[in-house]
Amino acid sequence: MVGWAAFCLLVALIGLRQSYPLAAPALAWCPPVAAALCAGGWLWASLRSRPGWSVGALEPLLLTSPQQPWRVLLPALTLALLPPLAWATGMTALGALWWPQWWGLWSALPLIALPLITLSGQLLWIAAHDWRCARLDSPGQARWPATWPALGALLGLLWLAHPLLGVLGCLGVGATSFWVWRSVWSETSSPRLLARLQHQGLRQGARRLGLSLPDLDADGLPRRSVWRPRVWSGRVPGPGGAFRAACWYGALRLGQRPARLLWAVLAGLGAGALAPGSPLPLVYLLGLVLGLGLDLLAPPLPAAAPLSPLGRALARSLPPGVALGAALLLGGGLGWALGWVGPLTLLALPLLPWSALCTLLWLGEALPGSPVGGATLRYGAASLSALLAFGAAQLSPWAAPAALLLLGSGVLWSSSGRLINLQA
Amino acid sequence: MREAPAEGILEVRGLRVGYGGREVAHCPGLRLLGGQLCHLRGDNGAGKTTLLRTVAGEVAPLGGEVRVLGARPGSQAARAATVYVPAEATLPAELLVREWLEFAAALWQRPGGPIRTQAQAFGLTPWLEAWPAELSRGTRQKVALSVALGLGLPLTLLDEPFATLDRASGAALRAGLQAALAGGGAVLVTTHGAELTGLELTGAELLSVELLGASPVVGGTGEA
Repeated sequence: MVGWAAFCLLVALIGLRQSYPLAAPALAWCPPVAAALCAGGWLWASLRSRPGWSVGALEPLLLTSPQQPWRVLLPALTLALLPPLAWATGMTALGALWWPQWWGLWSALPLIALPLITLSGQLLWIAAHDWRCARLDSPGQARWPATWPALGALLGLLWLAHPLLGVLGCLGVGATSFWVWRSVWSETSSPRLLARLQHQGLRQGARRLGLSLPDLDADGLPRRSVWRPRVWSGRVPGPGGAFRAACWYGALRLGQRPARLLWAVLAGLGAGALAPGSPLPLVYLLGLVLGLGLDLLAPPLPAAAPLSPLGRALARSLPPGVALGAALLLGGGLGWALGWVGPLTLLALPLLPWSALCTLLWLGEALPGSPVGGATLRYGAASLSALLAFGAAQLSPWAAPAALLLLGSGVLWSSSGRLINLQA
Repeated sequence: MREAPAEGILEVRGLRVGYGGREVAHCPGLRLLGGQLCHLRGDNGAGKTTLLRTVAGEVAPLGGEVRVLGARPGSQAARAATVYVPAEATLPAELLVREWLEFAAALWQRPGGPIRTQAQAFGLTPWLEAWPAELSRGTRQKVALSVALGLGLPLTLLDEPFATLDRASGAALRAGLQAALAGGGAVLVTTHGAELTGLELTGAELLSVELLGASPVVGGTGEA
């Protein structure tokens, strides 16, 4: 997600650069605003989110040795800091080469400023996170000295007075953060942090082997989705067929996240409003809204369940597909009542979520999963179905449901084939 | 009592099992009929778990043949006839214990009564409305064993089932095994020691088999 945001930012910067090739150096307020934004970003990141650093399976084992924990973790920390540092150095070099007319600015700010900012920011982020986790384990521990990095970040603003002061400010932030991190890991290890590190190692191993990631959050605890109480869950069916029982299992998440159906109504309303010649981004927007509902896809059935691969895939996709399809149809009906008659006929709308769910099932089996990857796959599956339906509807109103049915059946058949191969 | 099929419930011929092409155990032949319990013993690394996983269809055999009621392990027909409880049992995270007991009965199209009875015998009543993540390792194992024994499928595979159980639960497990054998089922169970001592068999048969790594199975002697 960070990579994606950075890419978007890069595209935006290129756009700005093309729009205002010469105006930029005249903007004297740019550096202070950028510096303030950076400082605010550091603080926000350090107090809110999780850093991207992780350790392998070896470090938790080494932490049981008499070595000081911070010494054990220092190599992993260094490895985690290297990529952003390399990125920042590359960006600085690229900037200096690409905007030679900004040479005045580059020479005013020493070229090491951006790498230093990145390094200090990463350290601050990691230190704040580890301190926060450790404090949760020992409530009596001193509070996170947020004022120190805040003062350090403000010191960064001093480069406006003199570039050297800015560099010193960055160094101050980095050194303070490292000192905080070292003090967290100086003597005893926090159980919460250790659990997080072990879980992180597990995730790395799963990624390396191309397996699905464990259904746990970054602390190694069951994800909130698992623990979320069900608003509704039907009675477990009695002996009446394995497929019927599997369908009950497939409908479980509907009881956990009924609000997703409201999003589907909204998507149906939007789909009804789409007309031939509508801008393509609107179709992507439809995919985005529909993708929100796709996390209703049922979790995998127990591997030992006596079901055929096709039955297994159908049981996972059919209950949420039918529920989402009905919600979409309701939204489409509302759109029709309002006079929005688009090419996606009422016949195509109920098939749209099922087709997207089958695509998601197929993609999910082809690629290792992760929370971010899962969101991307959901969006991809929903967008593909929406684009296909919208594209087919340009040809004929009947082409859209046929195309969706074809897509859903095709990927479902392919998924079943892959499952059969796995079992062979 | 379930009618014993004419052919063996489990037929193994020239089976070689292992991971990544490396053979860890070799079983020239084994035939389990209804009412027979095969006690598989062996040192750590002898291949007991790998053999069980192969019979359950989780691992492909390196060579030889395995048939569960004539079907290939892992096939739908074999899965309908087999229940496997690994040493570290996993339960579906999104289901309460009670829901899993009921769901398993529905999935295998069996009555839920025997599963509930087995769960009561294991003392699981206070845990019926708990999530799997709230259970200890031993309690999770008891839930999995309740399902395995309560389903009453033709073939039950248990990997070190006594390892995490307390004394009372061990006795309940032995009683459950006796009931499964009396019902005409076949059981393949691995242990390290003499945990099966005290198992009262009436009309059932106990086969004691020792695995010696990649060397052939020694034993196969009936100890009724």
